[in-house]
Amino acid sequence: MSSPDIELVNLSKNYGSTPIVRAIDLTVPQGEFVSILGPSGCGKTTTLNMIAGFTIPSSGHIKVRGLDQTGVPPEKRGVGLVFQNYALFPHMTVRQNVGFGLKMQGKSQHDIDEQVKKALHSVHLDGFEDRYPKELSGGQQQRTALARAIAPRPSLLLLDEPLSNLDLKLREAMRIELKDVQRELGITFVYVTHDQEEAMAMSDRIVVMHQGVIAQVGTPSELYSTPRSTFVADFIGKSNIFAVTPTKVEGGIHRVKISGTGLELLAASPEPDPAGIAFCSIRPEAARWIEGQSPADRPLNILPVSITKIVNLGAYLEVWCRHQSDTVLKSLISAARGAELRPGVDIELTIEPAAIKLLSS
Amino acid sequence: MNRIISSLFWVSLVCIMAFITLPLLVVMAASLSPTAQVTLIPGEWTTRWYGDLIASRWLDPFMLSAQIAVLVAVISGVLGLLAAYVVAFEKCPGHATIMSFLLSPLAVPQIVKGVAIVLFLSSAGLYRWVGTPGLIAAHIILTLPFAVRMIATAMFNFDKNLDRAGQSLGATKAQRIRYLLLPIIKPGVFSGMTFAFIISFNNIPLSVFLVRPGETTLPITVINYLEYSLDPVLAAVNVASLLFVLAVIFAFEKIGGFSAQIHGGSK
Repeated sequence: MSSPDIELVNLSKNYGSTPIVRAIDLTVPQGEFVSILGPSGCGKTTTLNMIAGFTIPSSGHIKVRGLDQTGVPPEKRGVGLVFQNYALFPHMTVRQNVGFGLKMQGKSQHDIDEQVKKALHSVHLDGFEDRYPKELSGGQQQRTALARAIAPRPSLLLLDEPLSNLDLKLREAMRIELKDVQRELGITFVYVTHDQEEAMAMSDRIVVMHQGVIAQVGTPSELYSTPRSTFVADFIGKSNIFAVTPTKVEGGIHRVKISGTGLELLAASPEPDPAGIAFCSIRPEAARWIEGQSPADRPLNILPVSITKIVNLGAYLEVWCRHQSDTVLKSLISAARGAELRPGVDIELTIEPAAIKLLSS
Repeated sequence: MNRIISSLFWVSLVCIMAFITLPLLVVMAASLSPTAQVTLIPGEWTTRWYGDLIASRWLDPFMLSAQIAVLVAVISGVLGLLAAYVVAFEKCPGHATIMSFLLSPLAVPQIVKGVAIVLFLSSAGLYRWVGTPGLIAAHIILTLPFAVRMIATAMFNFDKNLDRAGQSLGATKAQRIRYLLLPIIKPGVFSGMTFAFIISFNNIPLSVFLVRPGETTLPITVINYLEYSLDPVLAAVNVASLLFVLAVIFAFEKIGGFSAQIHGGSK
């Protein structure tokens, strides 16, 4: 059992009287791919800069490989860094860029050449050694930046939105490559992003940050299936979020009333304290369309609705529905099944009580 | 319509080019004038005026001007680099104010500066400095703002993330300056030095106060000569110094590669 690669203990950063990061605690074991996910201004980049050593924490501690990093300058931390704008050295070839860290370590030219070759191989850039950064495409520059960061074999790599300057197709391809490189080399990755899809696709664990605090930590599927707040429910994937008031509890089933419209739903969320219930979150794919005759054994939560708008997402349709109570609900319906649906058509939706997540905030 | 605009463009371009180059062409032609008076006779020309340049009357001032200009360029480059590093890169407290102060000599007319420097030297009991040391010091006062400005611009444009990247790869501050900052801002440093060289080499308004007999710079020698005679030697001097300055710019450009920076893209 190796010691954790990163420990953040009660870490805070204020600029003047403005708190940016507020007393966060986080432990990242060796070899894990962790994403810090949040909207801009949530403190994720500040957290990354504190781990890298560019920003001095206002209070709290950072341990890397068990060693306290207070007062340790960035160049002594042995932490690799990949930047959003790549930050390749424009006056150096790919070989010199990738070999820079090794040269600073005083490695022999022979060792440098060998490790540069390996690093370039693992990012599929063999043969690009003598190009200058400006002669490379965006994706190749990103790979060079990654190779440069991994060439000195850091145990820990910090990545600051490294894919956000790439176009969508390339971004999706690079996600898979990044994950492969990470798994192959066994390096701990701390990946900062505002793109939840990116975080979901690559991470072992996601740390959702909001207004300087950690909103929730969990595996991608945990965060998706059991968000603990409306912020997480809304930020990770899509959600129908309603303010509700609980009216009754019976056998673990809560009856809740949506504020404003009065629509009542039955929810089987394991929220123990009815007093703490303030919101509910329903994933669009959980609002299922029942076709034709209703089954004799009618499920709970049947909502007759009228379609107001259809957004075509390719494989799926996002169908906006209005219940007679004026509650507007988005439902995700496969495009093949919903080919006949049009705005104005009346349909019936059903929602499993267990798919309605009750939230306190 | 587009055609009219396009031809207007070309006409004005040719006019501007002619405006810039015609006087030079006249000087070049004059330097080849066959008679002692500056005359232009088609088909007749001589290079004897250039032969006259190889005399201490012209060579000594040329050597003095060149030496001063080289020293001024080097010292302005070094001082400009140090000043720009602290002001533009490290952004020391009050960097904006210091920058304005460093650039402020630009606002003072050269004649005023010249008078001020002579008065200062004499009242401070440093009159013996008049001559080469005074010329060098005065030229540096004049050229430093240009050098600082050029180098500071290069430093401002230096992507701080490169420094951070170097840092995360284990480079110490000295290593980052040596391997990252200096190579990347080199074009800015060399363009600053080139400006310093040209300004110093051509200077009259300051130099006129600080030369002493037997120790005059080339432009002052030309002015003095002009008071007594206007003959093709002067044209030859001008053409020769023009070629010399062009050669220096070319050499600096070869070493420093600053044309990319002047044209707005060194990356």
